Amino acid sequence: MVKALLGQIQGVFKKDFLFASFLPSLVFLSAVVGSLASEFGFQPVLAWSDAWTTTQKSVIVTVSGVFVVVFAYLLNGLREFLFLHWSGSKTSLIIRPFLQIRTATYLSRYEALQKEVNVPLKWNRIGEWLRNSVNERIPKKPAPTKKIDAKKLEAILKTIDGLKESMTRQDLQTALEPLLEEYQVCEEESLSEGYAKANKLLGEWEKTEGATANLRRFQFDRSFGNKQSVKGNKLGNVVESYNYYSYSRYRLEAEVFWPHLQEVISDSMMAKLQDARMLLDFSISMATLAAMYSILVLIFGLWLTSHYIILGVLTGTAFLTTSLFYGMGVFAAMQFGDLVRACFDLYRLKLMKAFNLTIPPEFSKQRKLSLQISQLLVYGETSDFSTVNPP
Amino acid sequence: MEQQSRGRLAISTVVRARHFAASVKIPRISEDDILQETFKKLSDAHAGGFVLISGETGRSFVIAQDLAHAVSKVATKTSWKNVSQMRLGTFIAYPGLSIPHIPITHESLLADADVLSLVRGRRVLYPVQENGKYIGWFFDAEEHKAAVDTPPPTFICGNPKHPHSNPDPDSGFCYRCRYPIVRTS
Repeated sequence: MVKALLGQIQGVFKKDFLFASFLPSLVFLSAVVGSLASEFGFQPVLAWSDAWTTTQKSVIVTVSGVFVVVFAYLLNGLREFLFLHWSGSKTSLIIRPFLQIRTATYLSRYEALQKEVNVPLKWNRIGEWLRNSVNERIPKKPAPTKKIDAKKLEAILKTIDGLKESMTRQDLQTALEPLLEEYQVCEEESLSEGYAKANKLLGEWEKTEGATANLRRFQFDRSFGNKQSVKGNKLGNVVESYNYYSYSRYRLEAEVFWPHLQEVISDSMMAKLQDARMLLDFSISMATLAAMYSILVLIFGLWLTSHYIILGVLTGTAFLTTSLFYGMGVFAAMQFGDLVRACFDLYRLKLMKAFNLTIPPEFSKQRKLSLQISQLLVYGETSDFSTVNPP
Repeated sequence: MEQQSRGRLAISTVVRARHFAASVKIPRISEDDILQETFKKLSDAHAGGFVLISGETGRSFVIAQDLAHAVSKVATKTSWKNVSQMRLGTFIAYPGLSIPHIPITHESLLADADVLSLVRGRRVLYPVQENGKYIGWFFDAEEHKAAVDTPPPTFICGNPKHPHSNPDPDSGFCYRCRYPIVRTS
């Protein structure tokens, strides 16, 4: 009993409890007390507290301290629930219709982004096209020996200078036709200046377009999971994006395998995960308490006071704080998500070994094996695990 | 030989010695750069070697020719295009390649220090400071310094009539014609 109690007291001083639950509770309760004091007037409140006896003061301070800790414990217990709530996985009846509308908005955003990601690249393998076109035009035998006319070359170079990245691929091919035609009648080396210029330009376009497409793909991957899991808010979609990652890459369902994976990841990675999760929980707690404060101000403020401007300012500030911490939560979730992804990248094979399985060297077979275990754990579908080693 | 070398250095300070190379002469290339960018930077700087950077810290001096030979060796087994897009840090750590490099010491030298007491001909590179600022590098072995002034490697295409020199392997093909890269200079 004493041991359990000591354990509880020790828990108070844990970093994640202090940061993610105690600190937000302290800020929230101070804000509530401060608001009430301002309503009754600071002078009368101070005068009232000055009138307390020493015993009264120590009792009130102790009770207040215990109340803050108890409140923080409650908040700590609700961390997972609050996280699910803010990420849209669990919703109350009041906000469900609102979230449904937002889901439709996010779904159309998902579709638009997906469309952008899947759009065919205009300059894909354009350098290869130029090379092949030159190859096709040069007569096999006899190779032309005539050098290109200086004026013609100048005109070709001018045409290349005028090429624009915004033009269509078809227009570009037409514009380069004069250069390609010369390969049929002129010595290849005499055209190398034109080739080098066009090759350099097209290479740059291809690389720029490729890099932009990769960035777009990266952002899409970190913003959404799959179409079926689109949620009505940003945080929910960020969470879905890292939950979906391990399945899309390795056929491991993150929500199912995460507890197992935590058993095999290194201490240093675990410490990084805990820090990232702590920041996420802190943001969620602060957002929740700021939202709660604004509701309290609206309900009790209207009842206690007639200073509507002050009420408006307080409510507005609280809403702003909620939105600020929600934004911080999204950022923290992205960081946490990056670490979760890294955990699956680095420790998935260790996890398979923990299941006492022999890892096939081929990646496709590893994925198949992951899928079989996944089906066993999630749906109870047993497969023939021929690769299982006897324990 | 060492005595002869010391004789020549007897009255020299660090910055005046032939072992010294100013910072501007040696490009600093991040291990996160791909090989194509690495050779492009060497070509732009007309340098035969570079300081390999990890984060903000200089790790070692790499002779460009040694790197180019290793690239050529791997490219013949895979492709020039693939090697060209590899990360420098990954390539250098590639097992079996053992690209020679000269480690940078933590200890830096003062620009006006007497060289005689320093030169031992070891594979070591010292950062050189003047008035608290890093102004260059001091090679313990003079032959390593010679690599800085050597022209950077080029990549020759397989054009039978006019083999072109390219500053980097790019996509595995020549910048000036349709032929693939086949070797380094």
